[in-house]
Amino acid sequence: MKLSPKALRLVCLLLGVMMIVGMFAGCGKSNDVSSNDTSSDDTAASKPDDSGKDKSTAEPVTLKYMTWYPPQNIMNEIIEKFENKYPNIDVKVEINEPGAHCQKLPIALASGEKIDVMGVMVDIAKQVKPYLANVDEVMTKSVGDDWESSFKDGVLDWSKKICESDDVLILPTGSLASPVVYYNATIFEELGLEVPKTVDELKNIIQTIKQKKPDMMPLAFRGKLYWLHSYSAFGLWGQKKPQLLTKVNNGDIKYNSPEVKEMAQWWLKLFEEDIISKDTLDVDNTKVNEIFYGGDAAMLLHGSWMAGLLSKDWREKNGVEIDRIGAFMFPSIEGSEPTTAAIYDVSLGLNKNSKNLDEAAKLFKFILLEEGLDVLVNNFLVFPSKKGYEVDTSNFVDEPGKNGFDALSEGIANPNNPERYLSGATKEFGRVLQAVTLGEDIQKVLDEFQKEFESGKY
Amino acid sequence: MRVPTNSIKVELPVKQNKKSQSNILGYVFVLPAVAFVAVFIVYGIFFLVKTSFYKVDISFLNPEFIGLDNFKIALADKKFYRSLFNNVVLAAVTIFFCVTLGFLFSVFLCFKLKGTKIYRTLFFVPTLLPNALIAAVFAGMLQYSHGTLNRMLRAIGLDFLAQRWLADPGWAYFSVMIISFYFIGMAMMYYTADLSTISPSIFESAIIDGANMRDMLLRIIFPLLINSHKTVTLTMMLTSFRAFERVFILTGGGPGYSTQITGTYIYSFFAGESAIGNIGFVSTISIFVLIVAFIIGSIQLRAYSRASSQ
Repeated sequence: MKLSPKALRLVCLLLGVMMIVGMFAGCGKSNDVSSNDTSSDDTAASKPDDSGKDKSTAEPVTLKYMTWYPPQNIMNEIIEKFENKYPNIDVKVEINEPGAHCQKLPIALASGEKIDVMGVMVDIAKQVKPYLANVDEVMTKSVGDDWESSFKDGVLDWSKKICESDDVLILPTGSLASPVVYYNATIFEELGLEVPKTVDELKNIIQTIKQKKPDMMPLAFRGKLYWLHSYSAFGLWGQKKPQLLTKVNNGDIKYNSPEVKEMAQWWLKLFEEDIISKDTLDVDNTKVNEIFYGGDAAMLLHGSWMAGLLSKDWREKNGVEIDRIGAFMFPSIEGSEPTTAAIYDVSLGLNKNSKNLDEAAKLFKFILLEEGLDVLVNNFLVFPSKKGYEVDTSNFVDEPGKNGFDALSEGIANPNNPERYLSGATKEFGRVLQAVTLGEDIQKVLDEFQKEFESGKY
Repeated sequence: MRVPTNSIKVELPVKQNKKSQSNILGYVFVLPAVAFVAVFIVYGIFFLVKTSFYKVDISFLNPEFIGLDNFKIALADKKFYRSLFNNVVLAAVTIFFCVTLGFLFSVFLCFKLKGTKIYRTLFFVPTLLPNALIAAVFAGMLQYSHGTLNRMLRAIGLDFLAQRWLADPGWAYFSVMIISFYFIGMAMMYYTADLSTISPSIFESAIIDGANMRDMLLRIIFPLLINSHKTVTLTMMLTSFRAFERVFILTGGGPGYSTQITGTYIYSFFAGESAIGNIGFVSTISIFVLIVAFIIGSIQLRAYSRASSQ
């Protein structure tokens, strides 16, 4: 078909106009994901029918849920169960990598995107605070006046502190701790090794592994991630100096202070004594899993969110080629208690501007207190913040798994620092610690970093 | 021949009308491009300049006007200078590979040898691949304990050659630079196209005059490809300022600060799990990088236009 010049011009004109309109439309506020404003009058009274389905919402409603956690397959399971329970509520989930979530969520909210439920990382709690609904009102309506008693002591105070608010704006699904150590129990048994109680014992274990299994990485660590040096050093050194991280974050202790220098020297010592090898400085998230899951590392320094490794079912589902895995808290440093840093985490918040707040509250409750939480816990992704929740450990078919889970639970219940949060500057400080492990002069790099910090760059 | 005046009176308004209609249509066709530039370039630069005067995080809530403070901090920031220096080194290495090896390979592949098309394709394919993919492949290969390169060296008894390619600051720097070799395909494309425009009679005359291979390469072909050198140098110089994926995936700018370039430095303040979130400072150093890239580009263009005119 051949177009006449006039028709061709018209087509070009239309395309041009469409392009301009499209471009400017993209700059505007996005449309509401749900075309129906169907706030129900009183959802507190709504109950599921005999089939377990709650049809109290008359018109179909679409909720938008933006988060970074849990992984997609687990989220699908949660949403499927939720939509089955509430057939009139459709949930559109956007899961991003943690870093991308920190970047996208504040921008999405600031640009007026209609997000109903959001995963709130501690790092961005203050940034999204202006958009968060008062949880007290929502939970009173959906759970009842005594909703606060559903959560463990300290959860609400933690939430207020994180958001610097008198109201409760976010609620955590559970607690996470890091770093903790997972170990290949089969290798330990083969070499006659026992879970170490002190750093010296850990050092001996590493020496034994290096001698008897020279091709094996004794302790896998994601050393390429510079910010993890901060998390790990502060998290572990908290055994000796509890709250050091919080004081540094708050600016109460300088980065070039004797306290921080002492920590940096200890961190260097770990590398000098080969407890953590310099060979791990190019290992990232993907590689560390490949190495440990494939049985090429005897131990793994990671977070409690990897507790699924303790379960045989989880290992089979995720292609982990190890028969038995255990876990322990990083052992005692110079006579201190073997603890780590742990916080409430994986928090949820509701957008106060949501037109579907009642429906969003149902999803909120579902994940925090109901079947959604069961899915998270059964996959060992969080240690629940719901009071009296009994975790079913029947999936732990062996002794190392059971003992490991108990060790993690104990560590999370008694952390050396209940604030694992790192400020932007403290994250960047990880590069300084990384440089220290490579032989840079400690005092010099600490002084330089403190100078930078004082310049206002961070 | 005398033209009747009444015909002019009739024709003029029609021509003007057609011309103005044609102009309007022209503007309409140009409008999408103008709108694109206005939204993504002009507004982008305006936004950078505006936010550089503020202390503000990525939520853009409660911006605090701090005047020129971000500029003062950036000008006193040793790490920014170091990242800029690394950019220049990266550009220099990339240009070196392209203008030497890229040029030589292009010339040799112009000879009527067997398999030249295959070799040309082999060199050119990496330039079609995303930088991120190339970097990810190399990151896996160069990893110390489980990387393919070290495993291969160990397997053939050359353990002493196995290095911490990405975990040691010196070797990491070397690794980031050496991967520039994979970008010679782009240069070869320019050189090959330009070589085909050189008349064979020039080479025939040179041979009759007794020129050897070295003379032909350095005194005839190299100067004749001045336009390609110009394009390759400028392209590679500016490409090095966009080498973000390569460095980010290979080393993340580390270990420590060793391989930090401006792209990764800016990113560390802007996004990712480690984001510091000082958007005002991000804008400020972005402006500096823009200015530096602009100056380098201008100097190069001037130098080459002088050389061309001579």
